Amino acid sequence: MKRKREDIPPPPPPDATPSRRSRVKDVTAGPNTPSKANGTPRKAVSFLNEPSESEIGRSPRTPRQKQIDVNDDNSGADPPIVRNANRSARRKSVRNMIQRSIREDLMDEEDGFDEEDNLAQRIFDDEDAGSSESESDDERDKNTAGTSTPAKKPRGRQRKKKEKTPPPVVAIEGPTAYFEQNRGRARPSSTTTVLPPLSPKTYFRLLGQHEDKHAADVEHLSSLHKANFDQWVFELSQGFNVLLYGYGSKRKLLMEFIKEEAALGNHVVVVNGYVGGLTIRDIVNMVVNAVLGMNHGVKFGVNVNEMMESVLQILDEHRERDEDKSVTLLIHSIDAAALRTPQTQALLAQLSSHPTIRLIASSDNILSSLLWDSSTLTLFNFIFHDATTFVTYDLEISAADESEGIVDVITGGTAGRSGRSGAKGVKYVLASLTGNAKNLYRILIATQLASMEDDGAGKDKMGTEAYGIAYRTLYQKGLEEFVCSSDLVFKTLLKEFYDHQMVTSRKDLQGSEVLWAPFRKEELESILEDIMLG
Amino acid sequence: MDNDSVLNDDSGSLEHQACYIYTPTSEASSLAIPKKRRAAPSPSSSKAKRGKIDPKNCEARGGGGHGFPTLLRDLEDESAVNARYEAFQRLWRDVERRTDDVLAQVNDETLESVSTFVSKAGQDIYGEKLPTGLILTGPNIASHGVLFQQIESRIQSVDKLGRVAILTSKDSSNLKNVLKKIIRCVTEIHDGFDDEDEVVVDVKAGRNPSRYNYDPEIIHDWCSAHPDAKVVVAVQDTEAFDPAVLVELISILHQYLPKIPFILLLGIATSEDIFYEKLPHSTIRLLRGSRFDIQRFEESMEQLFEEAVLSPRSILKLGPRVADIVFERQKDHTRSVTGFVMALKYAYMSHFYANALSVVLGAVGSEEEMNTILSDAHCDAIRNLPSFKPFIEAKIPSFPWRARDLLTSNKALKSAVFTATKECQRYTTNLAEAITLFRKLQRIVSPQQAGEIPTYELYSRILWGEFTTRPAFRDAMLTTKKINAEKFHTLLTAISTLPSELSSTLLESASKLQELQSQKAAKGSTLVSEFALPDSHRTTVKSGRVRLDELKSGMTSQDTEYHKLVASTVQSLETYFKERFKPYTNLFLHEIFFYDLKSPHSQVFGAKPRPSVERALSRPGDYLGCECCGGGVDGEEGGIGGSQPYTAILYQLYLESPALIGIYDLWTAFRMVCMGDRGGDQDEDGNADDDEDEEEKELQAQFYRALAELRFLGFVKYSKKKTDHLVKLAWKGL
Repeated sequence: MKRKREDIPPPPPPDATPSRRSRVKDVTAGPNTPSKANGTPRKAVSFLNEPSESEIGRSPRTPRQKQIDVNDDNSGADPPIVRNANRSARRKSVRNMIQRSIREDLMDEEDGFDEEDNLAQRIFDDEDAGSSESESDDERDKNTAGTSTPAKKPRGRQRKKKEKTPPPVVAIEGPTAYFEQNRGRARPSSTTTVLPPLSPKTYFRLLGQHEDKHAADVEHLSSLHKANFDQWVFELSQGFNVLLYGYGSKRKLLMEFIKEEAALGNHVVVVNGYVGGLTIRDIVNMVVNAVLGMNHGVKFGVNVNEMMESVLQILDEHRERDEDKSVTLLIHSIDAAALRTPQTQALLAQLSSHPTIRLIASSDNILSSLLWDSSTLTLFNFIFHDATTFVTYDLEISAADESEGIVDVITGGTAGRSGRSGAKGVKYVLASLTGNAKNLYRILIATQLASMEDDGAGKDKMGTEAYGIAYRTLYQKGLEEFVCSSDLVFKTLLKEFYDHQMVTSRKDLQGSEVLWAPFRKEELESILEDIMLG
Repeated sequence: MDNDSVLNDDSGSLEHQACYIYTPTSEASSLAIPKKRRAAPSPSSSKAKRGKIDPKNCEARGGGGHGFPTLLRDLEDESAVNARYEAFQRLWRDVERRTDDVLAQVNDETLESVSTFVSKAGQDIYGEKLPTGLILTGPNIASHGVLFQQIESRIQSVDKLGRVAILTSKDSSNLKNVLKKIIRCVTEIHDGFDDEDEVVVDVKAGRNPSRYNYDPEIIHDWCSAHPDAKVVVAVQDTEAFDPAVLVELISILHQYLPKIPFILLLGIATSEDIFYEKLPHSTIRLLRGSRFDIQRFEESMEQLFEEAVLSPRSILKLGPRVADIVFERQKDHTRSVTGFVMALKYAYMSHFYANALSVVLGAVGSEEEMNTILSDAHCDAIRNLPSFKPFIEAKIPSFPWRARDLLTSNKALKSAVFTATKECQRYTTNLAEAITLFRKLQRIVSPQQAGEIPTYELYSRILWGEFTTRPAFRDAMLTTKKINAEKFHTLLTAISTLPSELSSTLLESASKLQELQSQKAAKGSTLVSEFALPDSHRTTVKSGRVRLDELKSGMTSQDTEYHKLVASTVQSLETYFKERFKPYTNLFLHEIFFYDLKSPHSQVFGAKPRPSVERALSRPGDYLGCECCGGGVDGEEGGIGGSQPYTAILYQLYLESPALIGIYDLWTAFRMVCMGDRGGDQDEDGNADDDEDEEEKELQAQFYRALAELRFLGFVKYSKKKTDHLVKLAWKGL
């Protein structure tokens, strides 16, 4: 939208025209007035603007008239004429369409409206068309339009605009919406306006304050699910595994359920799938721990498949020893990013198919069923239950390592990408990391800051390669401070940083890797301060 | 909510831990015993006593028990609950045992031939080529693992032909891993082979310490200790196996062939052609062997169905609706035999779990047991069954006193129940008999049609009682009339061997037919019935008739006799089928003997996570049941209600937005929906700025959270094209 507008009005020189404008020029000015083809855009615009009213009125008729002519006169006559007539009719109607759209934009421009959000407009159009209640809202808004709050502005404008042009599209649902919305056309949203960021502290404080008006209903809903606990126990005991789906966090519900399982004397292993960095090894290890006790001293091979085999053997032995004691494996968000690889799911399926293991899991993603092929699904032997709870996904989305977490949302998804708001995201991430990771990051940015200081860089100076620290050096420093004990640990820690774009690296001329934090000096300082204080 | 806070406290530090072992606090475990729907003893007089006993008993079994709920509004006896559970255990175990037997037999033929192939394979037959068995396993990858394990145990433990190493595509990362795995499988001890292995392996290991653990020489050593044993390398999923590794593996196996008796088995899910295309000719030239087909899914499924559902030993039957769901799912989605067993098991589970009257099934054999187990509450429940009404109405005209008895006296009812159970069992036995008979007939008369439609697809039609009007049935009957005398004779002898009330008449007709046939044969021609007369090729009706008359006049007395025989046999068969294929709903107590609830099955096996999430978010009132966001009917038109949960509001805005969404746009719209009217009021006050700011901030926090939730659910992701824009990933109803 914005771009389109920039194209039409006076200032832009002809050579800076993007494709859209050139298309407009070709089609509109071209056939009609050849002389205008070389004219400035402004002229084209003024030409279009004036006669457009009458032309629009006429436009739909013109092509049809042509058509009729063709039918009447030229039936069976020479085809080229027909074709030409058709072509020119089509051309004219296209031209009219384009003119109309330009005119619309112009009117916006002339009325001094800074049209930002077509989306909002469409939504309000729908609302207006729909309920009388919101109609009255609008009325009120119109009265106050253009006054104090920015919130009101769009509405008033909306109103006026609506009077001129009827809403183009009524909300379409279902499959047609896909095609409707994927059709190529001008992108209707702003690029300039950005939400004011919200500090994490306020975010959590405000959410904590908030009272959910649906609390009672949500409670009631979960009590309905709780009534099914016995049934789930029965299903688990019969060799099925249970998978819960539906909107809302099922964490609390499952934790309630697990109490019952534990009361039956089963070992219970809880897996928080949403926590990043979780591996299938961790899960399998924990299962073995549950069966054999913490210090079992059993060592597993490097290969995960081999590991699984020996674990299944251990479970077999366990089963022979005391038969009725099983291991209940509770996996929150079995479809979370950390568990999403096919291999992990296949191994989980293998594990869950063992008679000693009872698996109860929750899945949230709408596409979660695509995780499993028929063989894993047979092994999983799931019983599906709709457990829509409407409980907010607080934990799941705040888990820092999750690439879908709240961190990115709060910072507008720009964490690390632009130096502007990335630093805030870093604080979120750091807050959830281990002490060692924090220390490592501290070392990194402290070194970087030192070299920036030496260079006499201003506080807005971005961190670049020049201020970076060599991979080996950082590792050495890490060792000295007991942050990491081996290269492997070090790499794991670094990976975390890479994932959140808190660190950038490049091989320098000698081929050694250089790492740096891509933030401004000022931000680095504040991060460092945070780490030291926290 | 107290519970919850306790929970949160003790798991507070754990919720960010990836995985841990849950240890209930003592408090938690004491709370954990469910205080389910056994609330207060019902005040309704005489049952108060039972009500009091009930909770205590429930408590007792709550510890290690089965968790079956007390039904009939808590009026069910504890003993009845236990009886229900025991009946479930007993009946299902019986079915399970029989299905296991069937499943074990399913691949028996294939296993047999593979085993023979392995035992015969040797240099004398295959020369320098690597003996290879291509096992066409069919598309159901879920069953492949089982099949290969069966092959392994067959060759290794039962027939003791040698060692089997099963490779899957997971092992195919590189040749070294593959060889390691083969060596491990061959040399490591599995139970079931010679005991001396251990010693041998130890000796070998001691003798050759310098070898790498992927050196095939190790196998050679093993082989020299076991001169007769063969080494079978089985690739379970050849299609997914890395072709380059496979080629190398084959060449290595081939090179070692003079030293080690290798045999290669390849599981192919698609077709041989595809397999051949995958490997170079030079590799294929190294192979020689034969091909094994496993049993088709439909066949094994049919066997299983006959054993698990039709057999009179299975007392609980599937009703037509459930059967349709189960078989449709089989046909269109899973195609796995074990999947069917699981669905059947779930039917058993839900029937006994939720139907208090299922206790009758446990006491089917003895009247005494039935009388003791059925309480007053049960009797009332039986009187409330839908099938009770037609039953009693049928009684009224002839035996009004009997009908009154049934309504007033529990004793009379109990004896009626007992007779009804007998009746139901007779019905199902007859049904199974008739179905088998019909299938046999169909297989002889029109084998093609029989192959196309398996028994289990006829089943639900038959139960509805509409099968005899179906084309499949009429076709079968018509073709029976038209087949030639010889075939008719085989048909008669074949179906007369099956146990049914028709068998004696059929046998009689068969011998009569034989007689006629021999008489006719003496004259040098064969029997022809009127039904079998060829259609006229003339066009006019009259000439057709003339021709028919000619043919008719050419018929002998034996032919007429034969014609009569055919007509009467077909007639009696038809009446027989019509009699047997009556709708099951005519039966009294069919609710107990046929499990026919659609709802748990369709949901539990065919989950629809996406529609459910979409529905929850677009019409939260459906789930929350609150008044504010109900709006169900006019909700389509009436815009988005600001009272809904925030994520639901955002989702509905999201639905209306284009494929690329500006976050700020979304926020403006969101704010407008949530604060629209309130904002207006405050504006008129003029000085509520601070308040509003705070409120807006809070709303913003909610907005962020809702957005993050949508992301978590997989509806949006960040656009790389534009900053602060979202890409729409899911369209509703798509």
